[in-house]
Amino acid sequence: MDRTQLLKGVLDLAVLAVLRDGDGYGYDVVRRLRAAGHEELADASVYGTLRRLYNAGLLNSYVEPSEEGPHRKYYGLNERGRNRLVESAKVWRQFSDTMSSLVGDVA
Amino acid sequence: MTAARAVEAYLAAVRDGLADLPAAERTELLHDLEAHLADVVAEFEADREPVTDVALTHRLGRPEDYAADLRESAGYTGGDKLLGRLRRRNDRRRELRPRLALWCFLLSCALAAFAGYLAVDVLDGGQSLLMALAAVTVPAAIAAALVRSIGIAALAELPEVRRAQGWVEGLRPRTMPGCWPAVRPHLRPTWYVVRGWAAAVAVGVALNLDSAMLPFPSLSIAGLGRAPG
Repeated sequence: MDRTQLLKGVLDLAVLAVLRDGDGYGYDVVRRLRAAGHEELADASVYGTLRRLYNAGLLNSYVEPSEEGPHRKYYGLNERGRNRLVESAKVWRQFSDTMSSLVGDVA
Repeated sequence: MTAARAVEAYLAAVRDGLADLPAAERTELLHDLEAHLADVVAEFEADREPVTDVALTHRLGRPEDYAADLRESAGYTGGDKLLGRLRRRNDRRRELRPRLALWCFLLSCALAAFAGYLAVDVLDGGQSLLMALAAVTVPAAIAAALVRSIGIAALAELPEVRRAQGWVEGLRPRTMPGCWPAVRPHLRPTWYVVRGWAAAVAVGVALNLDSAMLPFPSLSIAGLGRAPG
């Protein structure tokens, strides 16, 4: 099964979950998702997702200067983002339970 | 290519892929990409890896695919035509140097074959052989220099090379692996050729021909009539 396709459907939840641990800039979120095991992740899709979640009003954003290179844009969960995370996590748990009982102990 | 130029080229190519987005949104996304590229370059430098366009593409995907991923995840639909056009344009650019290397290589092969043909005349002291041999070196050197810089793998990915590979594959008899009895009849013509070649070399040895030409019996036999003394 293609993990990249699976991840596309739950990338919003993955990004929101990662930001619960603390604010982060784009590449920082990419690194945290990779460290969590999503190695097949396309960097660009994380930047696009952050941008869309921000445009949807689920994230705060602020800029901090970095020692070298361009300024870094940090993203963090706001109230709406935290609520969305809880809702999405519920949906995911139900979905994952349904699939687990469907698949059973095949593998 | 310097790191700054590779980064600028990547940035410009992604910008082309976002050309139809609202200006403000495009600016934001490109700002993010600038920061992203700076982080990736810092990683390359920490690993002491050179920052080239090939290395960036290997790490982040082709710029038009980066633009496509960014658009899709940011929720901007459309742009398929734009991205398709960019893919074709960039493919042509990427294929330019491998294609030149391929044609130079083929040209030098053709010239070398021609030189071999003229080699029959060398025994008469013909100058055309020297000229043909000299001509071989030009495309051969261009091909070698290009392959050195872009790698031989770039040639294997050219569509025409893939087509040629497919054609050669098609010539092969379709037999199951391990079915030697089924394969053997197909190999018989090869065996005839090998035997014929060995016989011709043997004749060459017997007649004490120029040893440099022995692997090419047709040439040595063709040169037979002119062999001095």
